[in-house]
Amino acid sequence: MTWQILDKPRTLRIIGAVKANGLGNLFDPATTEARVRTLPFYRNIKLYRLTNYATLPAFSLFYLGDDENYTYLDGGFEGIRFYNTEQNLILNKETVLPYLDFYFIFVAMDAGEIGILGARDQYHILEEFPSETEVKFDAERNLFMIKIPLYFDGSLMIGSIEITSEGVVTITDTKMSMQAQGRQALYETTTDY
Amino acid sequence: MMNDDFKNKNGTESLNSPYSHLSSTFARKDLKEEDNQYTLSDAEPLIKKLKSKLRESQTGARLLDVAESRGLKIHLIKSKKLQSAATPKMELFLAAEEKQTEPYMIQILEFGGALREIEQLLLGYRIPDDGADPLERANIAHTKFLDKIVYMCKIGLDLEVLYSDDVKKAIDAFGYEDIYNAQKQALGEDVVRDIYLEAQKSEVAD
Repeated sequence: MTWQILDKPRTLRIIGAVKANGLGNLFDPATTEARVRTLPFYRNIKLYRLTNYATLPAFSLFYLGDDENYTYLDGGFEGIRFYNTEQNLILNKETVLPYLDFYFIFVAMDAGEIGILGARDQYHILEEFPSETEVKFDAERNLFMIKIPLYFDGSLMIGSIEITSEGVVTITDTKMSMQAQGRQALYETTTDY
Repeated sequence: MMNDDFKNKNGTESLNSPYSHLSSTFARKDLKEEDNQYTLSDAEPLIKKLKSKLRESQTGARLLDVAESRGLKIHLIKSKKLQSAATPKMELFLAAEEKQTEPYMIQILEFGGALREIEQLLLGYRIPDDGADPLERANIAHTKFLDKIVYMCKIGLDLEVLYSDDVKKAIDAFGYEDIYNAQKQALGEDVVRDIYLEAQKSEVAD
Protein backbone atom coordinates (compact mmCIF):
# COMPACT_ATOMS: atom_id res chain seq x y z
CA MET A 1 0.00 0.00 0.00
CA THR A 2 2.99 2.32 0.26
CA TRP A 3 4.58 4.22 -2.60
CA GLN A 4 7.09 2.51 -4.84
CA ILE A 5 9.71 4.79 -6.40
CA LEU A 6 10.02 4.07 -10.11
CA ASP A 7 13.33 3.72 -11.92
CA LYS A 8 14.56 6.30 -14.42
CA PRO A 9 13.34 4.57 -17.62
CA ARG A 10 9.80 4.20 -16.24
CA THR A 11 9.90 7.76 -14.91
CA LEU A 12 10.89 9.02 -18.36
CA ARG A 13 8.07 7.02 -19.94
CA ILE A 14 5.52 8.60 -17.65
CA ILE A 15 6.88 12.12 -18.18
CA GLY A 16 6.61 11.50 -21.94
CA ALA A 17 3.10 10.10 -21.66
CA VAL A 18 1.67 13.00 -19.65
CA LYS A 19 3.48 15.76 -21.55
CA ALA A 20 1.44 18.71 -22.76
CA ASN A 21 2.09 22.36 -23.53
CA GLY A 22 0.43 23.36 -20.28
CA LEU A 23 3.11 21.49 -18.32
CA GLY A 24 6.02 23.27 -20.03
CA ASN A 25 9.25 22.13 -18.40
CA LEU A 26 7.68 21.41 -15.04
CA PHE A 27 8.87 17.81 -15.01
CA ASP A 28 12.52 17.92 -16.00
CA PRO A 29 13.76 14.31 -15.94
CA ALA A 30 16.82 15.38 -13.93
CA THR A 31 14.74 16.65 -11.02
CA THR A 32 11.58 14.57 -11.25
CA GLU A 33 10.66 11.46 -9.32
CA ALA A 34 7.79 9.14 -10.24
CA ARG A 35 6.05 6.89 -7.74
CA VAL A 36 3.26 4.37 -7.96
CA ARG A 37 0.99 2.71 -5.43
CA THR A 38 -1.87 0.29 -5.63
CA LEU A 39 -5.32 1.24 -4.42
CA PRO A 40 -7.45 -1.37 -2.64
CA PHE A 41 -10.56 -0.36 -4.60
CA TYR A 42 -9.09 -0.64 -8.12
CA ARG A 43 -8.33 -3.93 -9.81
CA ASN A 44 -6.22 -2.76 -12.76
CA ILE A 45 -5.51 0.88 -12.12
CA LYS A 46 -2.84 2.41 -9.94
CA LEU A 47 -2.14 5.85 -8.54
CA TYR A 48 0.93 7.63 -9.92
CA ARG A 49 2.67 10.69 -8.55
CA LEU A 50 5.13 12.90 -10.40
CA THR A 51 7.16 15.20 -8.16
CA ASN A 52 9.43 18.07 -9.11
CA TYR A 53 12.03 18.29 -6.33
CA ALA A 54 13.77 21.37 -7.75
CA THR A 55 11.08 23.65 -6.38
CA LEU A 56 10.18 24.25 -2.75
CA PRO A 57 8.14 22.75 -1.31
CA ALA A 58 8.16 19.95 -3.90
CA PHE A 59 5.44 20.18 -6.56
CA SER A 60 3.42 17.01 -7.20
CA LEU A 61 0.72 16.01 -9.63
CA PHE A 62 -1.27 12.78 -9.34
CA TYR A 63 -2.58 10.48 -12.05
CA LEU A 64 -4.63 7.33 -12.33
CA GLY A 65 -3.27 4.95 -14.92
CA ASP A 66 -2.45 1.48 -16.16
CA ASP A 67 1.27 1.99 -16.88
CA GLU A 68 0.49 3.12 -20.44
CA ASN A 69 -2.26 5.70 -20.20
CA TYR A 70 -2.59 8.24 -17.42
CA THR A 71 -5.40 10.55 -16.39
CA TYR A 72 -4.53 13.66 -14.44
CA LEU A 73 -6.49 14.10 -11.20
CA ASP A 74 -7.44 17.75 -11.58
CA GLY A 75 -9.89 18.09 -8.69
CA GLY A 76 -12.88 16.98 -10.74
CA PHE A 77 -14.65 13.61 -10.64
CA GLU A 78 -14.58 12.85 -14.39
CA GLY A 79 -11.04 11.46 -14.38
CA ILE A 80 -11.97 9.07 -11.57
CA ARG A 81 -15.37 8.19 -13.05
CA PHE A 82 -13.58 7.10 -16.25
CA TYR A 83 -11.94 4.23 -14.33
CA ASN A 84 -14.95 3.33 -12.19
CA THR A 85 -16.03 0.50 -14.46
CA GLU A 86 -17.52 -2.80 -13.35
CA GLN A 87 -14.28 -4.57 -14.35
CA ASN A 88 -12.10 -2.22 -12.38
CA LEU A 89 -13.84 -0.75 -9.33
CA ILE A 90 -14.08 -3.00 -6.29
CA LEU A 91 -16.46 -1.59 -3.71
CA ASN A 92 -17.21 -3.69 -0.65
CA LYS A 93 -17.27 -3.13 3.11
CA GLU A 94 -13.47 -3.26 3.24
CA THR A 95 -12.75 -0.95 0.31
CA VAL A 96 -15.56 1.57 0.41
CA LEU A 97 -14.01 3.68 3.19
CA PRO A 98 -10.56 3.91 1.55
CA TYR A 99 -12.42 4.89 -1.65
CA LEU A 100 -14.32 7.61 0.21
CA ASP A 101 -11.09 8.98 1.69
CA PHE A 102 -9.46 8.95 -1.76
CA TYR A 103 -12.51 10.76 -3.16
CA PHE A 104 -12.39 13.51 -0.54
CA ILE A 105 -8.66 14.01 -1.09
CA PHE A 106 -8.81 14.27 -4.87
CA VAL A 107 -12.23 15.70 -5.68
CA ALA A 108 -13.00 19.35 -4.93
CA MET A 109 -16.40 19.66 -3.27
CA ASP A 110 -18.76 22.61 -3.74
CA ALA A 111 -19.32 22.72 0.03
CA GLY A 112 -15.60 23.40 0.66
CA GLU A 113 -12.98 21.27 2.33
CA ILE A 114 -14.31 17.93 3.55
CA GLY A 115 -12.24 15.14 5.05
CA ILE A 116 -12.45 12.07 7.25
CA LEU A 117 -11.25 12.52 10.83
CA GLY A 118 -8.41 10.37 12.02
CA ALA A 119 -4.65 10.07 12.35
CA ARG A 120 -2.71 9.66 9.14
CA ASP A 121 0.63 8.02 8.49
CA GLN A 122 3.59 9.65 6.73
CA TYR A 123 1.90 8.95 3.38
CA HIS A 124 -1.31 10.65 4.58
CA ILE A 125 -3.13 7.34 4.58
CA LEU A 126 -5.66 7.04 7.40
CA GLU A 127 -4.27 4.62 9.94
CA GLU A 128 -7.77 3.70 11.06
CA PHE A 129 -11.22 4.98 10.37
CA PRO A 130 -13.22 6.58 13.21
CA SER A 131 -14.83 4.02 15.53
CA GLU A 132 -18.23 5.75 15.18
CA THR A 133 -18.29 4.92 11.47
CA GLU A 134 -21.21 2.83 10.22
CA VAL A 135 -21.20 1.13 6.83
CA LYS A 136 -24.33 -0.52 5.42
CA PHE A 137 -25.08 -1.92 2.00
CA ASP A 138 -28.55 -1.22 0.62
CA ALA A 139 -29.05 -4.15 -1.76
CA GLU A 140 -32.31 -2.79 -3.12
CA ARG A 141 -30.72 0.49 -4.21
CA ASN A 142 -27.33 -1.12 -4.85
CA LEU A 143 -25.39 1.46 -2.88
CA PHE A 144 -23.42 1.87 0.32
CA MET A 145 -24.77 4.08 3.09
CA ILE A 146 -22.14 5.44 5.43
CA LYS A 147 -22.26 7.50 8.60
CA ILE A 148 -18.88 8.92 9.47
CA PRO A 149 -17.35 11.84 11.43
CA LEU A 150 -16.16 14.49 9.00
CA TYR A 151 -14.31 17.73 8.94
CA PHE A 152 -16.86 19.74 6.96
CA ASP A 153 -15.70 23.14 5.80
CA GLY A 154 -14.48 24.26 9.21
CA SER A 155 -16.95 22.29 11.36
CA LEU A 156 -16.92 18.80 12.75
CA MET A 157 -19.98 16.83 11.71
CA ILE A 158 -21.40 13.37 11.33
CA GLY A 159 -21.96 12.98 7.61
CA SER A 160 -24.45 10.63 5.96
CA ILE A 161 -23.06 9.55 2.62
CA GLU A 162 -24.22 7.34 -0.22
CA ILE A 163 -21.82 5.71 -2.67
CA THR A 164 -23.18 4.00 -5.77
CA SER A 165 -21.61 1.00 -7.47
CA GLU A 166 -20.14 3.49 -10.01
CA GLY A 167 -18.38 5.31 -7.18
CA VAL A 168 -20.60 8.39 -7.23
CA VAL A 169 -20.47 10.00 -3.77
CA THR A 170 -23.40 12.01 -2.41
CA ILE A 171 -23.50 13.64 1.01
CA THR A 172 -27.15 13.32 1.95
CA ASP A 173 -27.03 14.88 5.42
CA THR A 174 -24.71 16.40 8.00
CA LYS A 175 -25.29 16.82 11.72
CA MET A 176 -23.26 18.52 14.41
CA SER A 177 -21.65 15.92 16.65
CA MET A 178 -20.25 16.13 20.13
CA GLN A 179 -18.30 12.94 19.48
CA ALA A 180 -16.79 14.50 16.40
CA GLN A 181 -15.89 17.63 18.38
CA GLY A 182 -13.88 15.40 20.70
CA ARG A 183 -11.89 14.18 17.73
CA GLN A 184 -11.00 17.67 16.51
CA ALA A 185 -7.35 17.25 17.42
CA LEU A 186 -7.18 14.23 15.15
CA TYR A 187 -8.08 16.10 11.99
CA GLU A 188 -5.13 16.77 9.77
CA THR A 189 -5.74 18.77 6.64
CA THR A 190 -4.43 16.92 3.65
CA THR A 191 -4.68 17.20 -0.07
CA ASP A 192 -1.73 14.86 -0.36
CA TYR A 193 -1.63 11.11 -0.55
CA MET B 1 15.82 23.29 -49.82
CA MET B 2 12.28 23.52 -48.54
CA ASN B 3 9.66 25.81 -49.88
CA ASP B 4 9.11 28.82 -47.64
CA ASP B 5 5.50 27.72 -47.22
CA PHE B 6 6.74 24.90 -44.98
CA LYS B 7 8.84 27.06 -42.71
CA ASN B 8 7.75 28.20 -39.30
CA LYS B 9 7.35 31.90 -38.66
CA ASN B 10 10.73 32.01 -36.95
CA GLY B 11 12.33 30.51 -40.04
CA THR B 12 13.14 27.09 -38.58
CA GLU B 13 12.38 24.13 -40.80
CA SER B 14 10.37 21.68 -38.74
CA LEU B 15 7.96 20.31 -41.34
CA ASN B 16 9.33 18.02 -43.97
CA SER B 17 6.25 16.90 -45.86
CA PRO B 18 4.06 18.97 -48.16
CA TYR B 19 1.13 17.49 -46.24
CA SER B 20 2.55 18.01 -42.80
CA HIS B 21 0.71 21.29 -42.38
CA LEU B 22 -2.42 19.14 -42.10
CA SER B 23 -1.02 16.89 -39.39
CA SER B 24 0.28 19.98 -37.66
CA THR B 25 -3.25 21.35 -37.56
CA PHE B 26 -4.55 18.17 -35.96
CA ALA B 27 -1.56 17.84 -33.65
CA ARG B 28 -2.14 21.34 -32.33
CA LYS B 29 -5.75 20.46 -31.64
CA ASP B 30 -4.66 17.34 -29.74
CA LEU B 31 -2.13 19.27 -27.72
CA LYS B 32 -4.72 21.89 -26.88
CA GLU B 33 -7.02 19.16 -25.61
CA GLU B 34 -4.16 17.70 -23.58
CA ASP B 35 -3.54 21.16 -22.11
CA ASN B 36 -7.14 21.37 -21.00
CA GLN B 37 -6.56 18.56 -18.55
CA TYR B 38 -3.98 20.69 -16.72
CA THR B 39 -4.70 24.36 -17.22
CA LEU B 40 -7.76 26.48 -16.58
CA SER B 41 -9.89 26.85 -19.69
CA ASP B 42 -9.93 30.64 -19.25
CA ALA B 43 -6.93 31.52 -17.11
CA GLU B 44 -6.22 35.05 -18.32
CA PRO B 45 -8.83 36.94 -16.24
CA LEU B 46 -7.64 35.23 -13.04
CA ILE B 47 -3.97 35.82 -13.90
CA LYS B 48 -4.73 39.53 -14.38
CA LYS B 49 -6.45 39.70 -10.99
CA LEU B 50 -3.61 37.83 -9.28
CA LYS B 51 -1.09 40.27 -10.73
CA SER B 52 -3.23 43.26 -9.84
CA LYS B 53 -3.58 42.17 -6.20
CA LEU B 54 0.11 41.31 -5.93
CA ARG B 55 1.04 44.74 -7.30
CA GLU B 56 -0.65 46.28 -4.26
CA SER B 57 2.42 45.03 -2.40
CA GLN B 58 5.65 46.89 -3.11
CA THR B 59 7.62 43.67 -2.74
CA GLY B 60 5.20 41.78 -4.98
CA ALA B 61 5.27 44.49 -7.65
CA ARG B 62 9.08 44.42 -7.75
CA LEU B 63 9.20 40.62 -8.05
CA LEU B 64 6.60 40.73 -10.81
CA ASP B 65 8.47 43.45 -12.71
CA VAL B 66 11.73 41.48 -12.58
CA ALA B 67 10.10 38.24 -13.74
CA GLU B 68 8.04 39.90 -16.48
CA SER B 69 11.08 41.69 -17.83
CA ARG B 70 12.64 38.23 -18.32
CA GLY B 71 9.64 36.76 -20.16
CA LEU B 72 7.65 35.22 -17.31
CA LYS B 73 5.10 32.61 -18.42
CA ILE B 74 2.35 31.81 -15.93
CA HIS B 75 0.52 28.47 -16.01
CA LEU B 76 -2.52 28.11 -13.77
CA ILE B 77 -2.71 24.39 -13.09
CA LYS B 78 -5.95 22.79 -11.98
CA SER B 79 -5.09 21.30 -8.63
CA LYS B 80 -6.92 20.80 -5.37
CA LYS B 81 -3.70 21.28 -3.46
CA LEU B 82 -2.33 24.83 -3.29
CA GLN B 83 1.20 24.66 -4.64
CA SER B 84 3.54 26.44 -6.99
CA ALA B 85 6.70 25.79 -8.95
CA ALA B 86 9.24 27.78 -10.93
CA THR B 87 11.59 26.59 -13.65
CA PRO B 88 14.81 28.08 -15.08
CA LYS B 89 12.85 28.72 -18.30
CA MET B 90 10.92 31.46 -16.47
CA GLU B 91 7.81 29.31 -16.16
CA LEU B 92 5.68 29.73 -13.08
CA PHE B 93 3.08 27.11 -12.19
CA LEU B 94 0.38 27.99 -9.71
CA ALA B 95 -2.52 25.84 -8.53
CA ALA B 96 -6.01 27.17 -9.15
CA GLU B 97 -9.55 25.84 -9.26
CA GLU B 98 -11.29 25.36 -12.57
CA LYS B 99 -14.26 27.61 -11.76
CA GLN B 100 -12.28 30.14 -9.77
CA THR B 101 -12.87 33.77 -10.70
CA GLU B 102 -11.29 35.66 -7.79
CA PRO B 103 -7.80 35.13 -6.32
CA TYR B 104 -7.50 33.91 -2.72
CA MET B 105 -5.07 35.67 -0.39
CA ILE B 106 -3.26 32.37 0.27
CA GLN B 107 -2.84 32.00 -3.49
CA ILE B 108 -1.56 35.58 -3.88
CA LEU B 109 1.13 34.90 -1.26
CA GLU B 110 2.02 31.58 -2.95
CA PHE B 111 2.25 33.43 -6.27
CA GLY B 112 4.64 35.94 -4.68
CA GLY B 113 6.70 33.10 -3.24
CA ALA B 114 6.97 31.46 -6.65
CA LEU B 115 8.09 34.78 -8.15
CA ARG B 116 10.82 34.93 -5.53
CA GLU B 117 11.86 31.43 -6.64
CA ILE B 118 12.06 32.79 -10.19
CA GLU B 119 14.29 35.58 -8.89
CA GLN B 120 16.45 33.02 -7.04
CA LEU B 121 16.90 31.17 -10.34
CA LEU B 122 17.81 34.42 -12.11
CA LEU B 123 20.45 34.98 -9.45
CA GLY B 124 21.82 31.50 -10.19
CA TYR B 125 20.64 30.09 -6.88
CA ARG B 126 19.25 26.63 -7.54
CA ILE B 127 19.16 23.25 -5.85
CA PRO B 128 22.10 21.13 -7.07
CA ASP B 129 21.37 17.94 -9.02
CA ASP B 130 20.97 14.56 -7.32
CA GLY B 131 24.70 13.79 -7.53
CA ALA B 132 25.71 16.71 -5.32
CA ASP B 133 26.81 16.39 -1.71
CA PRO B 134 23.59 15.69 0.26
CA LEU B 135 24.47 18.11 3.06
CA GLU B 136 25.21 20.90 0.62
CA ARG B 137 22.00 20.09 -1.23
CA ALA B 138 19.94 20.19 1.97
CA ASN B 139 21.62 23.42 3.07
CA ILE B 140 20.82 25.18 -0.20
CA ALA B 141 17.27 23.78 -0.25
CA HIS B 142 16.54 25.07 3.27
CA THR B 143 18.13 28.44 2.57
CA LYS B 144 16.03 28.81 -0.57
CA PHE B 145 12.87 27.75 1.22
CA LEU B 146 13.41 30.14 4.13
CA ASP B 147 14.12 32.96 1.69
CA LYS B 148 10.86 32.18 -0.11
CA ILE B 149 8.91 32.20 3.17
CA VAL B 150 10.51 35.51 4.18
CA TYR B 151 9.37 37.08 0.90
CA MET B 152 5.85 35.67 1.27
CA CYS B 153 5.71 37.25 4.73
CA LYS B 154 7.07 40.55 3.34
CA ILE B 155 4.23 40.58 0.82
CA GLY B 156 1.79 39.74 3.61
CA LEU B 157 3.12 42.66 5.68
CA ASP B 158 2.71 44.99 2.69
CA LEU B 159 -0.87 43.83 2.17
CA GLU B 160 -1.84 43.78 5.83
CA VAL B 161 -3.04 47.39 5.84
CA LEU B 162 -5.50 46.57 3.06
CA TYR B 163 -6.54 43.00 3.90
CA SER B 164 -5.67 42.46 7.55
CA ASP B 165 -7.92 39.45 8.32
CA ASP B 166 -7.29 37.72 5.00
CA VAL B 167 -3.53 38.04 5.38
CA LYS B 168 -3.61 36.71 8.94
CA LYS B 169 -5.72 33.71 7.92
CA ALA B 170 -3.46 32.97 4.96
CA ILE B 171 -0.27 33.19 7.02
CA ASP B 172 -1.85 30.93 9.68
CA ALA B 173 -2.89 28.43 7.02
CA PHE B 174 0.72 28.24 5.83
CA GLY B 175 1.91 27.90 9.43
CA TYR B 176 4.26 30.88 8.99
CA GLU B 177 2.83 33.05 11.79
CA ASP B 178 5.98 32.94 13.96
CA ILE B 179 8.23 34.05 11.11
CA TYR B 180 5.65 36.63 10.06
CA ASN B 181 5.45 38.11 13.56
CA ALA B 182 9.24 38.10 13.91
CA GLN B 183 9.51 40.09 10.69
CA LYS B 184 6.71 42.39 11.77
CA GLN B 185 8.61 43.15 14.96
CA ALA B 186 11.87 43.48 13.01
CA LEU B 187 13.56 40.91 15.27
CA GLY B 188 16.27 40.27 12.73
CA GLU B 189 17.46 37.52 10.41
CA ASP B 190 18.98 35.37 13.15
CA VAL B 191 15.68 35.11 15.02
CA VAL B 192 13.82 34.28 11.81
CA ARG B 193 16.38 31.61 10.97
CA ASP B 194 16.13 30.10 14.46
CA ILE B 195 12.33 29.94 14.22
CA TYR B 196 12.64 28.14 10.89
CA LEU B 197 15.21 25.68 12.21
CA GLU B 198 13.09 24.90 15.28
CA ALA B 199 10.07 24.27 13.05
CA GLN B 200 12.09 21.94 10.83
CA LYS B 201 13.36 20.03 13.89
CA SER B 202 9.77 19.61 15.12
CA GLU B 203 8.68 18.28 11.74
CA VAL B 204 11.49 15.74 11.73
CA ALA B 205 10.62 14.71 15.30
CA ASP B 206 6.95 14.23 14.32
